[in-house]
Amino acid sequence: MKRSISLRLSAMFAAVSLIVFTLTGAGLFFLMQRQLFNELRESLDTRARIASLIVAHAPDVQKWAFVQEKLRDLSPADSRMHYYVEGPDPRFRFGTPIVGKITGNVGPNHLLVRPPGSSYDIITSTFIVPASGDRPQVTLVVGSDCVRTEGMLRSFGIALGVLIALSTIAVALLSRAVTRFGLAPLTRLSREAAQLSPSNRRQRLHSDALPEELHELATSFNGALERLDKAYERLESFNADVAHELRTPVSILIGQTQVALTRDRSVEQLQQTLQSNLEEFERLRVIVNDMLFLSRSDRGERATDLAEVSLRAELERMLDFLEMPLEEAQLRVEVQGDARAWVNTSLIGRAVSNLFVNAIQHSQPGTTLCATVAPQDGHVEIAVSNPGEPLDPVVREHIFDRFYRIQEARSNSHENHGLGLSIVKAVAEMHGGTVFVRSADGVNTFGFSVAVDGGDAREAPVAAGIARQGRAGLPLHVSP
Amino acid sequence: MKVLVIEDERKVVDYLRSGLTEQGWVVDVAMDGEEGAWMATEYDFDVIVLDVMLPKLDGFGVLRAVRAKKDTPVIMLTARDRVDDRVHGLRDGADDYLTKPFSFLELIERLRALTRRARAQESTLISVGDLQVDLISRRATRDGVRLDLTAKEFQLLSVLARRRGEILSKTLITELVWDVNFESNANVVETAIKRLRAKLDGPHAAKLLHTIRGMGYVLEVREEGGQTS
Repeated sequence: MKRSISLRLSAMFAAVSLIVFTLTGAGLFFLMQRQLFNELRESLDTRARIASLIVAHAPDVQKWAFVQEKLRDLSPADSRMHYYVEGPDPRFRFGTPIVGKITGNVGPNHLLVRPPGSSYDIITSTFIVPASGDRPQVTLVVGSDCVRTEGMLRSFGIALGVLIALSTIAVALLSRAVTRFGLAPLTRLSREAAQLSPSNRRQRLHSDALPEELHELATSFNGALERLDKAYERLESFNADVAHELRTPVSILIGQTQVALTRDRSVEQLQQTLQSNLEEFERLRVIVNDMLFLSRSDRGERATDLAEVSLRAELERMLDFLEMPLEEAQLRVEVQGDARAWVNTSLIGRAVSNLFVNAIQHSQPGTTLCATVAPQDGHVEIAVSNPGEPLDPVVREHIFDRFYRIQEARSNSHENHGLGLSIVKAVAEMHGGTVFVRSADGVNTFGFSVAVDGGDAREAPVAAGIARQGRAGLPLHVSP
Repeated sequence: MKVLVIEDERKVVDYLRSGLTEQGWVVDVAMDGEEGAWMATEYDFDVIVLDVMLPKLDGFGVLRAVRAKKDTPVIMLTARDRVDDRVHGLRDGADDYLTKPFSFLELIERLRALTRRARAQESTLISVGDLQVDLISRRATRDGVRLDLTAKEFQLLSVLARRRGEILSKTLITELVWDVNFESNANVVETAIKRLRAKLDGPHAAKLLHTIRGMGYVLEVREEGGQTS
């Protein structure tokens, strides 16, 4: 699982505030530094100007002694100030030179010098005092150490750093609380979702009370729940139908076997019981195989062993097969249209045969059925129409559902277990198509479509053995 | 003909053993995969019936073991109707497969097909009692009277006549007569049989075409009228 959103958010808040605080602190620091150094320079300049006036008023050696005294007085005992006069005449000199590494240039004639062994700089101001009387031109260097200024800056910097760190931590902690509060609807949503259970499938998330960001999520989640619920419902009623469908043959089997065994029976009677049992077993086998076939298409399995064929030819092949039942029912069939498509001919034959059987069951003797092959955009529609009563929209909606039977057809449920049209649907889906039913002008049309290129399932037969079998791709024991 | 049945379900083994024995097969049984693989490689069989789900070594394992040494025909029984199973089996060298639940008749038919090495030269003139079916001129006569059959009816009769005495399931008939290999609930076979029966047996006291309830149809001469339901 990914880290929690509130943790991520507070970490991001903390990072952002660290950057902002650092920038602000750095700005403050540089402003402070400039102000302090300006002040330092100005006070240094004032002192240097006084000193240069003193030096300027000493044109001879007697006066120079007085200069030296004055300058010595100006230098405080803590040696924070340095005065140094240098010139070509050794009589007009004062003090010791300031030695060290030049670390910066802070003004037109100001330098920062770091004396060896010290951790603070000395700021120097250099003046040229022109020659006067005996005295040649001399250079006056006034220096002031920056212990106070730099010390102040350092402690300011440390204080800033500590403050930034503390505030960042504070932001992190506060934003953790804030994001938790802000994400409360999400927590509520997930708690609500956690309470969804199969026992109460009508339950949905309350999307109205949610902020708009979550509203959409909750709505689509509810949509997914709705679809799952539908599927679940279908499955549930399917299970019930299956159980019901199996119950009849099983109870016949149990009952007639028990009856047969309660007395001594003749061989003929026992044979008859066994034969009747066998018929019921056959029925069970057919249902089981059909269910297995349907579950294959439910799993999204695609048709294999595709061949490009004329669908009209396939229709006619099935008409040839169904010739006798059609004659018995006194029905004629007209075939219209043609198109080629990549299909599994056995599956298509099965679907077409089921459509015809459906039409035969619902047609009056003497009428004419119409079978059509109609190419559409990328698909081919195969349909069988028969004259008949208009179909109720509810019936139309469910006619391809498993075990769905119109009331009238329930009477002959022994031959027709209600999976015929759902197998048509399964075959269509295995070929990337769909099913449809139309009812207009006294004609009912049932049909399905297939993708011309066989959907995305077109591929060479997997194994040579299959081609040799010629039927391996199909369910062998499934019936419509 | 010797058949090896490799299957762990006791009831299936029992009915296969008695059913196949009655059909004239010599039946050996292995109850798990290892024993089956050992027997199949150690002894010679004409055909092997192999279940996919087996203890110790599954059907595919047995098949590989057998194929490593022999090319005895193998028919596989699969419980799941999954293409993968079939592809798996056929690629590994199974010769045929049946999906459970399957019918015993179907199994018999498949076993015969696998062991019938080039069907014995077939006669083109078949007689069943007073019925004569000429496969070349496509004529059928009974008691010297020509039967007026449609093309499909003749084909149905010739399929039944070629395998006289054998019970043919509806599935098999559908496949052999119409080349349709799925079961249909369209009553095609029933209707065709009804029509053929009317022409073939209608005027005669001795019936030749018999319905075996729940199993299929057989064309044969029966001593005392037989049973036609």
